[in-house]
Amino acid sequence: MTDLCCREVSEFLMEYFDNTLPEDVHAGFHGHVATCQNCRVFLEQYRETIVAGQMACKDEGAADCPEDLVRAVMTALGKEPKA
Amino acid sequence: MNEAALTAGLRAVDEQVFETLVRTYGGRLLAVARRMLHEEEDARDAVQEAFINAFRSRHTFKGDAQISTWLHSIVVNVALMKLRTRRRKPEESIQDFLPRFLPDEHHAEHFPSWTEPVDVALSRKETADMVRKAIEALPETYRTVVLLRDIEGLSTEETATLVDTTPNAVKIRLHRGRLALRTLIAPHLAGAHA
Repeated sequence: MTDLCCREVSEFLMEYFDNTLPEDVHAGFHGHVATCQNCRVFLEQYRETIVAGQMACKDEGAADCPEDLVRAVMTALGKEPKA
Repeated sequence: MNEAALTAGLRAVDEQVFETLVRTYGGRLLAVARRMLHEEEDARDAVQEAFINAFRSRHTFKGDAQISTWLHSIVVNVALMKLRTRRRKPEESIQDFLPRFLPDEHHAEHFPSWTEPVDVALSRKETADMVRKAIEALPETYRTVVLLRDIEGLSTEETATLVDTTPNAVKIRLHRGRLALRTLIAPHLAGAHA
């Protein structure tokens, strides 16, 4: 297969990282990226964007549950039938 | 209290155990609800509703998944229900955040490299805050899928079921959402930090 163009590389990024690119497309993808510095940077930034989102959100849940929310839940549950 | 004790207490309707569950997992569930709903009051309502739903459906918890996973799926469901019942505003187009191409199919812009590895940049609170705000700025259709797939770790199929669409539509939204998120965070990571 001939090398892909920048637009096609951009469209196939997710499949590339999921390892689901068909073999012939994979070759064309690599052929383009090997010669296009702009697409190499873009590809790396696509991957880093996923990591950035995960890192930005990972510590948010470390906080304790606010006491008033614990009380609100337990009060609401106190009104629930037990059986 | 370990997972087995929590599971046993949950089934036995032990209030002490349920309070331990709320204290142990409430903070994490609140973070999930905040990410999806933004409004603090809505997020707290979602967590409260999730625990009530968990309590009501405690007999359906078989113990073949972790309690945290079970509670996580409940709060995600509740948050999605709340998103659906909100009055819908016309959704902003994602087009402006997607890469642009020249007639010869090359990128229309040059992408400067980011100045430092993303894990180093994200160790700073202000950068993490900036990325969270960028996620919040995504149009809701895309933000929800990015959150469920990349942040909450659900599969394409699970996400498709939750947002009532096809796996292929989830893949398209995820890819566009990631592209848009890159556009939003790139200016801050390409040389903004001295």
